[in-house]
Amino acid sequence: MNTTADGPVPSTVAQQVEAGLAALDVGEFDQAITLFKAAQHQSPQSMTIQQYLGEAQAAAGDLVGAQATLAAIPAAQIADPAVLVDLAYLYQMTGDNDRAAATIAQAVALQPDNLTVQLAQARLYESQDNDEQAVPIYAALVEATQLPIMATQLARLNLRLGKYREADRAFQQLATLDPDADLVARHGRIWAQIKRGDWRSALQQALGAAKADRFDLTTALLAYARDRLFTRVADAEIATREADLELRFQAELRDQIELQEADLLALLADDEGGETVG
Amino acid sequence: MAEGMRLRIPTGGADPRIAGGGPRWTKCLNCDAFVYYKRLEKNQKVCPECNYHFRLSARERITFLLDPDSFVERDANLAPGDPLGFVDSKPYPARIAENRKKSGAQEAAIYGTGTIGGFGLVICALDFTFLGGSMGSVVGEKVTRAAELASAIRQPLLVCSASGGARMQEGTIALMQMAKTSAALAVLAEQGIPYFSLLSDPTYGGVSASFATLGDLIIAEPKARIGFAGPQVIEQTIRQKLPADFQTAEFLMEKGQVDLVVPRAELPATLKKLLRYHQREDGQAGTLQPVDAAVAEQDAGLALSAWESVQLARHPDRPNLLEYIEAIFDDFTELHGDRTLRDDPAIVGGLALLAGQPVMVIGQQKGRGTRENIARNFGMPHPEGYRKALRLMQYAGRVGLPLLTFIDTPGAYPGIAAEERNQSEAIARNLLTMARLPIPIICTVIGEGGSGGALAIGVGDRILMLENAIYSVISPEGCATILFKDATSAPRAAEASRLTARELLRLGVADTLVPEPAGGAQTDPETTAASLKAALVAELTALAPIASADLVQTRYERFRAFGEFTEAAQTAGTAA
Repeated sequence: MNTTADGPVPSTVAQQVEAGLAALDVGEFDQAITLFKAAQHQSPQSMTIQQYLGEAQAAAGDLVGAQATLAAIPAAQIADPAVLVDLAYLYQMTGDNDRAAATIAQAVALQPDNLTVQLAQARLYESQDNDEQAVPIYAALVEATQLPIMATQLARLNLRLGKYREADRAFQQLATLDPDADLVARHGRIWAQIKRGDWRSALQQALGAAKADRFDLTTALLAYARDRLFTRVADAEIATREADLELRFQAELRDQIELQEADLLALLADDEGGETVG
Repeated sequence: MAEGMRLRIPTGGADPRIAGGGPRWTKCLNCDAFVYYKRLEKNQKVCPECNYHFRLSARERITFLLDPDSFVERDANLAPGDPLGFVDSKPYPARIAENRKKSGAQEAAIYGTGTIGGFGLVICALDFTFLGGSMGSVVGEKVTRAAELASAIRQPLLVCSASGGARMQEGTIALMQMAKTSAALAVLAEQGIPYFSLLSDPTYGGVSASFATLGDLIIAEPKARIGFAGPQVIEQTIRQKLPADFQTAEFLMEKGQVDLVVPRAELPATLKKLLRYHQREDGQAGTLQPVDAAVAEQDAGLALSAWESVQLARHPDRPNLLEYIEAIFDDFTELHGDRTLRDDPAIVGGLALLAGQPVMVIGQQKGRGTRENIARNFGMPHPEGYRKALRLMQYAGRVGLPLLTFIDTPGAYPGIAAEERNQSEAIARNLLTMARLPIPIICTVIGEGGSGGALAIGVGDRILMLENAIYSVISPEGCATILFKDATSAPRAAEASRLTARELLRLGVADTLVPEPAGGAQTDPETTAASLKAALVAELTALAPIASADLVQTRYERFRAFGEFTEAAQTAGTAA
């Protein structure tokens, strides 16, 4: 007889699935895998059980196993884009970028209006350094969700692509969506304006930022602007200072994203009423 | 679950909501890996790919640390006032309301009682997700009440910090929370209740400059950023680029500011161990268990020449402090740093169990082999080493743990930096402090007892010497050079200095001689350690019942009595 840490495996598929989901919920992933495998053995045609098994394997850190389990589900039978998102991320984590991109595209095709799937696709592109593809998705997500983190990500990627005008606009959106992010948005705008040579706007923006800045990044940006414009400073020195400033700004941006990411996770975790067994 | 991943588009500017499903994946901010969210949660929000510690809410922190269902929250409904009528982009009360809604927390701290591994404690955790964990009236009040509760129920206090500093919206009232919380901790310290501080990313400003850095023991999570001023401010002020690891937990440990850097998964076990030094699982203080081993002797065996003893005391294979600790004690936890400059590896200190009795252990550490000897500076402490020892002694004194010191040093380090940092004062301060510590102190010379550098941890109620250990005011070579004008006269100087254990027993400097195997401790370290353990247990058993005041008075009299002189009788009424 099969057993789990909690005793013998229940005999019916329904009981096994129910117990497996309960184990998954409390973080007993190995136990969940045992239960789902037992259920799968009795009900090999059930795609739902296979999904649960893949989920449990992913949770347990068995990324290759989870990938094999989910990949074995015929694409035509997958109705839940979450399964395809899982599979795409698993491909990505095991180094198969092409399949990852193709699979997430299937997920989007399955539910083109599903914003969470779109976000998953943007993140996947981003982690593949395919910022060009991620940017329009984030742009659409800013409009659709009005979530500050989407604007921050859009601005960040535009900066990375050297699209400073678009980055400026995205930081502006960020400040509108989240007044608490005003300072980081101003810093972003200054940075984007400096990079595209719009010194007048940058200095105007810096005047506003200086009042709210506890950490003097604004002052550093102003000092850089002054020396760049009016002082004879060697090119090498300017390059070094620009690199330092960029590091500081990226650190600020990263802190902002960490805060917003926590908000997003809280938001996603807020109501879990949609899940059903079966 | 088809609808389970759909973001609902907000209407009329309302908050966006999710129609079920919960987060499935998140992206690590450090390594960019996709992490299955359930896996991340199971891993206590530490990235399984790169070990990056995600920030925790106060409730998550308490859930991860305490025994299940043991937390009983206190004063959950404290709410801040608005002392300044502060408005930035919105009024302060509106900002509080918004943060409550967003984070689900009432304020940036929660506190109450609970257990870790069955040991009771008072715990307070700050919540960075609520207004950056900033300290206003409520956070200050909760930390203070937690300290007062710990004091009232005489249980250790643990405060878990994560904060950007004082809350600007409460102005100077927020600043005063620094003084308020520190005052409460001062009372706690006076009452001998241990206070542990756990620092997580980030801990800055008014929080780091008050209760967060006042812990008797300070533990930090890996890579946590901790400091007073942010790195940006410092860079701007000094106009220099800071090292990449500046203000990380690891950097601060090297600089002597934290005792331990402990990964999140190991925190409950580490805290359980620390709590165990202060309380048994049945709530009683620890007691010594009898030890079945060789009995220490007052004097035994055939005496070697003084120079032979010197050579054995310095023998490269002679057991060193950490080897004795391993053999004699259970559950040693090394503590680090002087809180000011750095962690001096020439002094090792920490908490341990001696036959079931919690004790503080401090000693000089020589290396085994050239490389380690260089790292340990050949057992020659800098002032910061003595200040680390001082900190640990004072802690032991406050919480009532017996102090066992182990002396093995050629002397305090004679260098420019050591003088600049006031080596003399560091030694002198330890003598002053040890003289009055209200706890049993047993000092054992295990190898070389080199002058003031040895005495700096050598003022105790009982002085033990291993049979071939030496203890002197100057090295035989130094004495020979100065007094005999000839370094090759070191053997003669060794004899003249009366530096062997037997001579010092006769002079009353040492109380007990612990036998070594023939040929020295290095020939049979296990037997030597067993003898030393038996001697320590016997001495501690004898000292344990003595009242603190009597211990201190007897210690005073012991050292007061040292000196040999004559004094001519004064003639009364002598005219000037």
